[in-house]
Amino acid sequence: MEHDTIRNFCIIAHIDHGKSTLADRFIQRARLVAERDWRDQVLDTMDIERERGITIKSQAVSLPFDSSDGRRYHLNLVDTPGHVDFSYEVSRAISSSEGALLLIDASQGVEAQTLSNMYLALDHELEIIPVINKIDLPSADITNVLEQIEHDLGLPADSAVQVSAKTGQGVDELLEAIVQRIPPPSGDRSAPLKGLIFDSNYDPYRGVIVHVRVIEGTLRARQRLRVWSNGAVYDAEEIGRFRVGHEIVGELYAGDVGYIIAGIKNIAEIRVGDTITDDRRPTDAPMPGFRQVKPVVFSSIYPVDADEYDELARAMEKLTLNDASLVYEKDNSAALGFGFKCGFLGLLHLEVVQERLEREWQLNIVLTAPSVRYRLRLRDGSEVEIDTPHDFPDPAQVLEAWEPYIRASIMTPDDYLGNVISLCVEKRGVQKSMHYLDKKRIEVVYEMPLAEVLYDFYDKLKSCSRGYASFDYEIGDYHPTRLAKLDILVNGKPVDALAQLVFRDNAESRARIICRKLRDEIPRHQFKIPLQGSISGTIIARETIPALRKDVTAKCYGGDITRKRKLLEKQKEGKKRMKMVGDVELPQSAFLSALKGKEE
Amino acid sequence: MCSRCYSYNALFRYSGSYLFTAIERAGAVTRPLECVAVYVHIPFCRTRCHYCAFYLETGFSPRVLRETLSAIIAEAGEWMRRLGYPRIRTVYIGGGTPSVIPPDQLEVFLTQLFKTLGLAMHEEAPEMPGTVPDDTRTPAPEEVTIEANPESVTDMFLDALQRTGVDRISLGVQSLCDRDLALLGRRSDASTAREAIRCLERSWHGRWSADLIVGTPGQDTDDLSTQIDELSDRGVEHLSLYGLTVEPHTALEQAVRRRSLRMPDRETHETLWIAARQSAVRRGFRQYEVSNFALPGAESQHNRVYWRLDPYLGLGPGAVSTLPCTVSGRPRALRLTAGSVFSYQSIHRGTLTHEIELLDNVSFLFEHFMNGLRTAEGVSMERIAKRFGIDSALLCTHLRRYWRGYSQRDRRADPSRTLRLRDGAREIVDSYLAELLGTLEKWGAAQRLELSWPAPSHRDESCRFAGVGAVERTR
Repeated sequence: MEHDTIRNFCIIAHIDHGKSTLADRFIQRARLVAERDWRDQVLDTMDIERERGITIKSQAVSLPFDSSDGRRYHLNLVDTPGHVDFSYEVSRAISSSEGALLLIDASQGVEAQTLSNMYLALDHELEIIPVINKIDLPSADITNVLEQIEHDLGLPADSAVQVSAKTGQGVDELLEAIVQRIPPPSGDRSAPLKGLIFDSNYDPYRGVIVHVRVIEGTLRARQRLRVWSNGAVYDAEEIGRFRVGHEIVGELYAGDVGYIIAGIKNIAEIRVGDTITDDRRPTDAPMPGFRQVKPVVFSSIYPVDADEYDELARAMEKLTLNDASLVYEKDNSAALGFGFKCGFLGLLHLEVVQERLEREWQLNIVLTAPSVRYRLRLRDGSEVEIDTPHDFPDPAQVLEAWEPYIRASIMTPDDYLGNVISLCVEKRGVQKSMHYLDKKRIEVVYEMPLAEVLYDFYDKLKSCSRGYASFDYEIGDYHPTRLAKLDILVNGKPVDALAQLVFRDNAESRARIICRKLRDEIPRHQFKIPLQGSISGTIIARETIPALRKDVTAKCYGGDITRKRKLLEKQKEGKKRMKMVGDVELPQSAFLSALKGKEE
Repeated sequence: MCSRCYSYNALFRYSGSYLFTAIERAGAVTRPLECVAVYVHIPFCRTRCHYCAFYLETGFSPRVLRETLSAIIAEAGEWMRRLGYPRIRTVYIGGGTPSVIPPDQLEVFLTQLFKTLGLAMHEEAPEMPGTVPDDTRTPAPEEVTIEANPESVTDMFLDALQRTGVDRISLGVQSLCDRDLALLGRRSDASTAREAIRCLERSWHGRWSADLIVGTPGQDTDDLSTQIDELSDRGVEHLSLYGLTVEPHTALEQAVRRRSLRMPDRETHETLWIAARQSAVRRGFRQYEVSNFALPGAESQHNRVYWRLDPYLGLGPGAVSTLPCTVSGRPRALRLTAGSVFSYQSIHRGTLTHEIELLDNVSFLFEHFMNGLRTAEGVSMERIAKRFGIDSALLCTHLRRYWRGYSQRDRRADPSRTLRLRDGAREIVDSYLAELLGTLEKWGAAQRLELSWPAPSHRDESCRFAGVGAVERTR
């Protein structure tokens, strides 16, 4: 295969702007999947991806395309995760391509993520093709989007291709544009091997499948390979290209995108962004920009039924096989027993893991309130990092505390600017910049604590802007904070799994919300249950669940006995989902509602 | 809802006889009994009350009534033969509304039924040679109750009952407030109930009990105490208080769903219940079971059979039996339930199917607690020990350790003899029962429960009622 018939490109877009649908259309166009096997969003293999309409794992596919110039081209599409939590993965996908399709919804226009992704692509000197999608919608406002492309993005409006991924309109023109405008890959086939790992996944039979873009040199089957960052050496057992499945080839050349199977058992050894090279003839410099992705959100996961701990352990192990960014270690809680403390890339990542455990593994789990990682300086001069309330030292020992901030970019129609600003201020944001993107849309940039975003920022942003504001962030520096550990006492006993690290000034309102929610979630007991929020022993909020006075169903005679017993048998099963804290039974929903933080 | 065609089906098919085939198929063999309590289900009402989801017929012809009654008599005869002509401890004629049967027909039916059951109701009752073998003729039962609606209570009705030997009436008052009665879909108003009570005062020599419903929409605590006071003034000796529940597929449920009615919330319901209980107690009634209140000595003997899970036989289409049997020679508890009777909707399926349930011993043991803990007499650990062949002290130790409800026991009761919940705790026993079930299951798995029921060496004792006196003694 010649260099000049290869095009490597990715699609970058805001959530819901139709990335996976467009990828579907390409695949259909290339007839890689028989019509009868067709289902929408073929590349989204997980149920959750389909249901939520987001791509979590990046996928790659090589599309044969017969251009009008009479030649057959190979278009390598690298599908990228569509959420800010996975922006590092996106950046790796971008750096394995020469071009990017910047997808914009014809009725939504440019959104926060569109912009940040475009900057990412420009940083890597990609050829950008603006694509206006969903032009078939009655609400499509193409003129306005063209203006935004010119004004906000600084791209020539006449370079935009208009398509409808749904109907297929304009897709052929787009494929032609890819061939004509995106440069073919360069790179010396005879140079020492240099490959960029842009993703990996785990196959239970074959081990880790490494997704690689060959930058320079040639990758051959049975070649001895070395991973740059850790020096691990593997023999390539099989290499190939991505179709909708895999297509084995003997060699991959500079410019190709493909996969390597090398009997690798542990996905943690293969880090996205790392460089792979020939062990005997290594390249002199790795690909720039490699870093270990570090978790920023922490939460502990416990099985509701302690008997399910082993099952949970197995599930976590399996999940991390496919998801190197999920880190976990054993943990235990007085209230919840044994579980795992986990680190996530963001809140969505956390939710995805939670859903997969519940859905794919049918586990009943409880998560503690998500936390960020704080830095503390203690009286003895030492510095510690903590990410769970459990590790919070005696407050008297804490001299100073810092918490991570993010740089949040929010785009909103100017009608909602007031709401958005007050929300950001409420969330302790500091405005960094504000400018009009066009006549009606504004981008504001705030620095704000990550912890505030974890709590209920997304929901509030959506509701205060009627869903119009979009949001993107990058992790920034640490800033000083006033940190406190909020304990929640149920019937006088602190429940460690409900404790939270909070900004001191928010503690009272947070405690009140949690107590109120627990009051609604915990069933009444045979006795009165006080619910209290406390900081360093001082009660700052209180609710009471009144005692149960009667719960017997009124009558029980000869004919009612079986029915009643069966009802109690069901209740007994239901109790398995309850957690005992002292004498109080806490339903799973109590932990979940405290975690969510949303106030209905 | 058209129930007629289906109901006729259900009734025409109704015959106790197919049950025996089903029991055999289940591999169970019923055994002769020393004594048994009998419940008779009369599945007829003039109209269906708005809260009722139980199986019954409203548009029935005289022929269906006649045939159903004779099917019940036939069933009674067959059971008596199979159970070895046991002594009948108590009889309860319930429904439906037994009082919808015209008095003369009712009298004939009851006379025939009692004869078939071998009951010597009166000294002057004529001997019926051949019905019952002479050597098993039994003494008069301790209690024969019939349910009646106020509108059916007439002098003629009461005379008919008294001639047959019925000695207790359970009067379906439900409320003495016209608004409540209309809302519940009852056929009579408060003045009819008062008239019925006057009639009882005038012509009834036996005992009587009244049902009251607690927790109707809009009810307040004064309503309840006024009604209880009035009933008490009129000489009622026994009260059954029922909390109004919204059952699926009832007119009440529909009204609640359409928001034309609003049920009291749980806390209001509780407040009403507790007020009603206090009113009854103030008038000298003792709450001897969660929903049953009696003046001293006026407790229902029949209900106690259920709560102790002594053998009881159900006759009629909606009746339930719990009887000893053997399966491959081993003693088991057999429950015969008309499984579909609890849901009105099931009538759409056309037939009532009986469920043959062979209780496993742990479930049966649990039922003893489930029922017994609702009563003031509590659960006799000695009886359980004998019935299940277990060490009651070990069971008590296990319960103390693993069941939180144990801490709710009445300290005055001797835990090795009687496990009894303290006042107030009985009202919330359900919240402890699910956990108890798990505790007993764990315990039972490690034990060998050998049912011996009724215990042969205590045949007499298990048949004879400890009676009210015994309860008083344990206090």
